[in-house]
Amino acid sequence: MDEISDPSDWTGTRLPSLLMLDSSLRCRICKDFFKSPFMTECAHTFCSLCIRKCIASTPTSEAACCPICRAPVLEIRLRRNQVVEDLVEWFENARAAIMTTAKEEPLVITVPVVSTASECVSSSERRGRKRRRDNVDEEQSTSLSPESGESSSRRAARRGSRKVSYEVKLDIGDESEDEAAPFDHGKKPDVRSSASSKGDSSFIVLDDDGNPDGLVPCPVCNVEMTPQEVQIHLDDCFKEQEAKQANQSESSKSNGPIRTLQSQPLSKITKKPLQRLPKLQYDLFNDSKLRSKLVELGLPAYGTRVQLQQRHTEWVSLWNANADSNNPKTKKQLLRDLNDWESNLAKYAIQKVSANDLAAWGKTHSNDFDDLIARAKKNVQKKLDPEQQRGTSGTVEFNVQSQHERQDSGPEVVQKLDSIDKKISGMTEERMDYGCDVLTDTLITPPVSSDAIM
Amino acid sequence: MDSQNTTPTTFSSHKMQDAPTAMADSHSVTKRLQSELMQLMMSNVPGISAFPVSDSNLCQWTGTISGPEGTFYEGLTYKISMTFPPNYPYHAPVIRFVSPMWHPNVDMSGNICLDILKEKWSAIYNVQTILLSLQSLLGEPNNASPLNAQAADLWDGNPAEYKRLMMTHYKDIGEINDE
Repeated sequence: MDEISDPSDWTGTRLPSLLMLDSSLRCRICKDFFKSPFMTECAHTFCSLCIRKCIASTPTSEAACCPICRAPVLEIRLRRNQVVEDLVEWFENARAAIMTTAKEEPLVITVPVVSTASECVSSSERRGRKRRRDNVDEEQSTSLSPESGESSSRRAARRGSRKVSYEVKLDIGDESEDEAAPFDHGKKPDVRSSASSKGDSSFIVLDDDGNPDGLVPCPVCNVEMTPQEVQIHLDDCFKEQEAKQANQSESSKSNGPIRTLQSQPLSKITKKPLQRLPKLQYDLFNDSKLRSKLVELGLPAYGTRVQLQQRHTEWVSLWNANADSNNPKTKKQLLRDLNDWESNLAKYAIQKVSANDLAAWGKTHSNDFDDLIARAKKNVQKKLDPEQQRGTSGTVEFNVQSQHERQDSGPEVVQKLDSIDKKISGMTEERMDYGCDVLTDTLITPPVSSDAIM
Repeated sequence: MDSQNTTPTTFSSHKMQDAPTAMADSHSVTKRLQSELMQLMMSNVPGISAFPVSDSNLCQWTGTISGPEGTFYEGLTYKISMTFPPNYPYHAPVIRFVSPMWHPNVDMSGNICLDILKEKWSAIYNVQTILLSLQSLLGEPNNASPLNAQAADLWDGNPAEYKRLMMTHYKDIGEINDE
């Protein structure tokens, strides 16, 4: 059985505040963590399958609307919510571990340990930390500030002066934008040597900043290369970039979202994307066409027209949601899901008759009821004293409901009542009052309602 | 099952063992209903309760609603049945009053006229929101489209008579369960 997790799992743990995080990463429709989350135009997020099924279940006469705010929703306007998908993935991966930690006995609680530790930190250690921080500052300033040469002697002035180093960074940022300029003059070697000797050029910054081999990133595409190469590369790079942007603005006209440069390599376009299935205007298909359409899709083609339509609608939702998934299932698995769904539907149809739709039950079983009532009447007449005679309908009701007279109510009812007994005895005490009542209710009411039909 | 079975409060862990373990299938309906059951038990909202009728059928629930304070129904408890369709939550469950209910928007067989159970149903509604909506319906009927015209008339016209007639129909849950 699948494990059902719930945001309330966090209550009573040491991290109850995770309840809100947990619940905001769940789809409001299926109450489970988002699977292939998609966002509506009204900025609400649901699982791909949930919102697709929701739209598919809207009667054709009505416009589909957002389950949360009732704003109109169009399936083609749904957009993948990649950030949420990643969040869910990482949270789900970590959830069990966090839960275990959160449920550990208070003995292991880190709070006292931390507080004592922070109080007991020896002054030398503290000094050490500060020194380390100073060193960091120093490194930053040496690497970032052009005046780094004279900085080593003025430690006190620099202590904690982050602001300054940011400002320096900004200055450098501005400078580095002009970095192509020196190349134009063909002075590269000179610049480099002066830079290494304590110059104020930006190269020293770039070099110390993680490009120790003297490589510089291309300002357009960030690919690292030697300064010489950059110059040649830049022209091509600009052209390439322009072409890309032109392509994107074209595609964004048709597809909607403009993908940023960074997100492009991240999205898994290497996989061959699954084709989405179109919805059908069922009015345009006669039965045989619809059947052949289902066969074409590899689906079973038996059943009534309603069943065919339902099956197709469900399949389109399943298929398209699967196409949205990062780990799509095989068609075989999808077909199994479809089969599960359909058998569940069939199971309900039977239940519905037996438990829910009393009128339908009354109609389909009217013969049984007539039979039972006739027998009951006979028995009543046999048994009743002349003084006790009442209205016939009243006695029938009395007869069928009375458990003492089971034997009079025909074998079927006896069987049913026996099965109720079995069910009741199998139940826990707690639910006894509910279960008993509703079960007898469902079985006893039909005769009454059939009475009303008569 | 382990992680939620070890949930902290004794109440929940005790209940969880009773929770439908017989469900072998992983249909979204049963899964969703299991979530709802857990949520309902954990949140423990006063005045409402609901539980599946049996282990084998999670699609049939029974619940109770207490009349809200300051209404004719204060202090009374009503029993309802809930039947969840296989396409739940995309379609609304069928909710019926099992207790006799005398109310402008409830007919004599317990059928309820409430927009969120019909055309205004939304897939994000759940057992808890339904029960709370029903509870507030008791205090704020929609007298514009009554199922019980007499009740709708008396609601504003003659509160004393309303209360009297309502009480003649009322049956205690204990009585209903004994029947």
